[in-house]
Amino acid sequence: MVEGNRWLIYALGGGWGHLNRAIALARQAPHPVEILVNSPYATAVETVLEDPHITLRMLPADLSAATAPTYVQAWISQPANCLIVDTFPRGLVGELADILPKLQLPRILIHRDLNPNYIAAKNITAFVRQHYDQILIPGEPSAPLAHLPQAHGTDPWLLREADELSRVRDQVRDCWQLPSDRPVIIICATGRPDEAQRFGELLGAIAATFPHCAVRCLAHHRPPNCHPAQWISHWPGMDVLQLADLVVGGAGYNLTYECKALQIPLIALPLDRQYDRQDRRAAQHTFPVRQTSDCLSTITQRLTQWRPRPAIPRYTNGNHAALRAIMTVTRANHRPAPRG
Amino acid sequence: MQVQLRWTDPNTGKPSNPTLATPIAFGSDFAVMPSRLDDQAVSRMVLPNNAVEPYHALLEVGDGQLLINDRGSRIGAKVNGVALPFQPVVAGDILQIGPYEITVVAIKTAATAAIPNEPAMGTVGLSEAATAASASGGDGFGPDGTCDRQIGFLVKRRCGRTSTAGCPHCRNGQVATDTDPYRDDYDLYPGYGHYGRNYWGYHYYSNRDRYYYDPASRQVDFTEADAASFEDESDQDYEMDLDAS
Repeated sequence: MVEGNRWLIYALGGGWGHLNRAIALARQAPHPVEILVNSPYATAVETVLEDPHITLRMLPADLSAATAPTYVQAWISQPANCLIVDTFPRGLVGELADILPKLQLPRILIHRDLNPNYIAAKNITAFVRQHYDQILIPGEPSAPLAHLPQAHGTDPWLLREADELSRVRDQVRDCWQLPSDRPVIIICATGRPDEAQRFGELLGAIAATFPHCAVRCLAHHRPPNCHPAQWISHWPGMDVLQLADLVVGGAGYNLTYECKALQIPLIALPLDRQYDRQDRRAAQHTFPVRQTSDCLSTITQRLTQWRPRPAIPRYTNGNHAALRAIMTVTRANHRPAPRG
Repeated sequence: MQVQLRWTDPNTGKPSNPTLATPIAFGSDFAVMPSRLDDQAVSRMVLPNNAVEPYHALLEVGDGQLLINDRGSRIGAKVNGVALPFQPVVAGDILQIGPYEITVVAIKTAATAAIPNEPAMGTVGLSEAATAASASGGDGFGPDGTCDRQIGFLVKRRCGRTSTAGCPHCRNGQVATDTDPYRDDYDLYPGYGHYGRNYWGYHYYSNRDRYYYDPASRQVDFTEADAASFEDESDQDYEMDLDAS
């Protein structure tokens, strides 16, 4: 292994969370960062990611769970001075379990909440204790590995600083024709096609029930039942969310903590995921609902308190603290290259 | 030479993890593959798929190393994505035969081999040593010609072998069918069958994906029947999906 001034971030996993969390961290990095991703949204993000220091390395689409490990091993073998693994300590398909014990690099785990059945089934706690130099926990202090000695909590990692949002606020409002004199409700449609369809149906119900509101759908692909005039495709979504009075969506990592930072009520329909416990996150940070009728009644309650939102609230982006913690590890935990 | 293989059936999603003696033939038709080569019994692996030739490839030992010999198939037999007519194979390689991606988990030479010559479970991988001595209505065998014995230490499961030859559970038919080979062991573990936290079995259950049978190193005797039973557990689905989150 040859060291280089570069960070590698392993961010395999479906959806937005792994991709956005990795980019939020990479934007602070003092070195070039290469992020291994397989999010279906990565290609679109790459076209608008205006940071020459960040490279998105897409996992080839034709790789399977059986063939991906070879690719991952080759990717990790490139010169770097730090490996940061998002969410899956053993790798998404367990491939890191064979690679990490032989790796001569500081290893840092980004730890969000995980299903405890997975923790038990794959003996994750012992593996992380042995093979990671540091565990960074952005925003979820009750995550199952938080008790390990190398754990370090930070605020959630966000893609935008408050001042960055301020700079684009008017531009985004004009671009997507979002009013300031009446409530704006944004439905954030993510997930599988069947889930996107449900959000599309929800959009129709909300628009019909609250005609005095501006109802929009923030989504990479326009869901069924969503009129083109209601559809917003924009990355990072936080640029648009800042203009919302209410947000409706799942309870994934990004949306939950972006709304929390912006102090916008999130009415969440937790999505069923294999590793992520959205139910739990929703219960802690959102107004969780199950049915469309519950969603509509919750919106009604929130709108009774509506008044034009003031300026963007101040919030702490945890990626700064994460950067300091990583730098401490990379300096102190220098692992010499193997001999021979 | 003993070879441990691992793959997931592309049709059913069912994982397999047999350990077999060389030579090992791969093909879609059991009867077409040779039963013996150079006076050695052949382990015949049936891979039921139209892309797989009836007798597709042979994994054999040549000059002390493991080699895969493509039998002139239409699509070849690939090692780590490379198709050659004849190429060496080492542990960690991935053999691709049609849609099957077979990982060579471990190779044990004669000097180090201590794995009993067990036939694999199910319809694939039955070695000639097993099939040649197929049961003919002997003790413990059911009407379908397979063994009725309940095997497995943690979880009982029907044996299903067609022969007692090479069977580690009945020791080549020497253990009476009404005798549990683990009877004495259970006396040492009164909590047998309880896998909750604070029971002795919890540790074994939680770590079951790590176990393998290796008498040379005296690793945990975690039987194939237990492993097969656990394959049905839902947590086996973890680390199987590249789109998960």
